Amino acid sequence: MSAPTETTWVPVIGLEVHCQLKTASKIFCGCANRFGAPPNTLTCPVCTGQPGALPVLNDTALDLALRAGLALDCELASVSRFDRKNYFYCDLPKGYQITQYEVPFASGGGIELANGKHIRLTRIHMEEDAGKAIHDRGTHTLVDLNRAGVPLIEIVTEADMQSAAEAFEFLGLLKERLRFAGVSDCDMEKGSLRCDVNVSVHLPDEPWRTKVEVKNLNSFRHVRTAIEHEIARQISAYESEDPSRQPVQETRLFDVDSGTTRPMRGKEDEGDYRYFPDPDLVPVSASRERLEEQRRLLPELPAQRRERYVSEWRVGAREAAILTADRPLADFFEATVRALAENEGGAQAAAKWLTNDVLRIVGEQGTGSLSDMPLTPGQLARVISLVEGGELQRKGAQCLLARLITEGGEVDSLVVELGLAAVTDDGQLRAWCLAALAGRESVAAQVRAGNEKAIGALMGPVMGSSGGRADPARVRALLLELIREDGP
Amino acid sequence: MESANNHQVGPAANAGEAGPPGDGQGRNLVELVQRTAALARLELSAPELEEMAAQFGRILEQFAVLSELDVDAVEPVRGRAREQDVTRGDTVTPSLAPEKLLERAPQVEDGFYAVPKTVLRAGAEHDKGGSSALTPGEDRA
Ligand SMILES: [Zn+2]
Repeated sequence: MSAPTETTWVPVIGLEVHCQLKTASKIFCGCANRFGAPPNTLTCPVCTGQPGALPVLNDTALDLALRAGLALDCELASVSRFDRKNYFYCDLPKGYQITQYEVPFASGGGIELANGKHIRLTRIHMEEDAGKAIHDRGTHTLVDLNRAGVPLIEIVTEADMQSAAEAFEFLGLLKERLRFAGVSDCDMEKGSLRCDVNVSVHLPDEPWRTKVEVKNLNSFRHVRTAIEHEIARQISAYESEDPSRQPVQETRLFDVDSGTTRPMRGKEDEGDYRYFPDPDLVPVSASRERLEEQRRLLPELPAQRRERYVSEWRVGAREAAILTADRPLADFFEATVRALAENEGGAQAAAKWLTNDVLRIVGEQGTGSLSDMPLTPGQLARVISLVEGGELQRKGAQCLLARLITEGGEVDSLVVELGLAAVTDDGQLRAWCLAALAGRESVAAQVRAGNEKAIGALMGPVMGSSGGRADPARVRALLLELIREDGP
Repeated sequence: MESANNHQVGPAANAGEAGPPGDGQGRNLVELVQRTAALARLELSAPELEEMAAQFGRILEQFAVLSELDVDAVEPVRGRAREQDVTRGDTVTPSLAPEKLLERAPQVEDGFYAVPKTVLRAGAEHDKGGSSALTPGEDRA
């Protein structure tokens, strides 16, 4: 029998995602939950594990965790509890991490991928983050405990994914949901979203083989590279049939520079963590009122919004996808549509102006997003109304939007101040047209000879004279009229 | 604790020689102490291991009395009393001045706690999820 070829192997992938909750203070003490402060300035006896200090659970951390559970369609436990996970490492001052082992607050739930595949969640639990250990400076390992005690949820999936692409898509959807729900910033660069992956491969109709865990993945791209590398490594090891290369159950570290993984020696086994109930913390309940409140605060999620924009508001699918990329933008769009309620096709116009012009102008500023700019939905709606009413031409509107986005101001007075009002006076338009015709007899002759396209050569000069304030359709009509009047 | 640089840690290491010969119970205890010491990042010399194993044995024997009680009908107690839902509002309170905490540290560098190098990996800051330990066993050169 010939050896199986690469294509017959089936990868099996599961994820463990750590996500920092967007609270003001840490999970068990009042120190600020803030990234980027000078080292060890956000610490206290509780989060540095001083003897006798007692943790008390942050209400909002619980609320946000529950909201994440709702956003991911989980089953929420009516009571959950905290345990201690014991291990010794310099970033963990107490010698144990407070986590939920036996009774997590959420289980089940999941996310559907575009191909219809449902990725199930095993569980979500709350825990505290560890500090940060820096190893590449000087002779010592340097420890910053500002992050110790930042509230986290750990989301564990079933091994339902079969490719790096599926894992990548899942992470994108997960991030989108958590951000929309206001649970977390999910910023991998700042470490507010971190991911470990479990990878194995097997042959069809055969039992699953050894599972390998890969850690140290600090970007979505790394997740994809690490999974691809690990699948290839395992397949080639099995196919080599070299006993020394056979995958073993272990934890490997991703190496950013080489894009490969290598074994991490001596990681604890599950039993080594000696979990036991934390006697300092009492059980917490997810009361009906608490859940109702979080359900109320849970906004409509991006997939539902996209669907509504397309089916109810007749917005293009591509525009709907852009508009739901983040929640402030989607909220801005909806507020603009509400302000345009009187206008026929207001939603389509708002979608076009936002995705074409507003986002382009915001992008040109280089920094910040739309929500950092002074432009309001009411102002955008007013600009759109002026364009639709013929009082403002496209070019004038773009100029006005640029000003509103960068400096702000009042729409109607800016139209006057910047001299942007559409020129509707036929006398003025006619004068610009005559000026353009002067000395371009040959163009007029071509048009008269039946080549109407030639008129384009005249449009430019007229629009230029008007500073973009003329209605191109009206200019064209006037030019034709003048050429024909003047004809033989 | 006496330092022994090439002393191996882990359940299987030297278990045979360290335990009292022919005594299965003793050897298990030595393994247990060895594993626990490794998890706690402690190095024990062979005589220390034996001494600790003996002490562990006596402690475990004393606690074994508890397992003779029939507790099938008793609800497990978790946490203080039967309270539930003790929480605090999400309010930031002032942190402690860093000097206050850092002055207790054996060594400080640029506002960081400076500890012996615990991971030997060129040019990498090990920044992983808030769970799990890293590289025990890689903690010395
Ligand atoms: Zn604190």
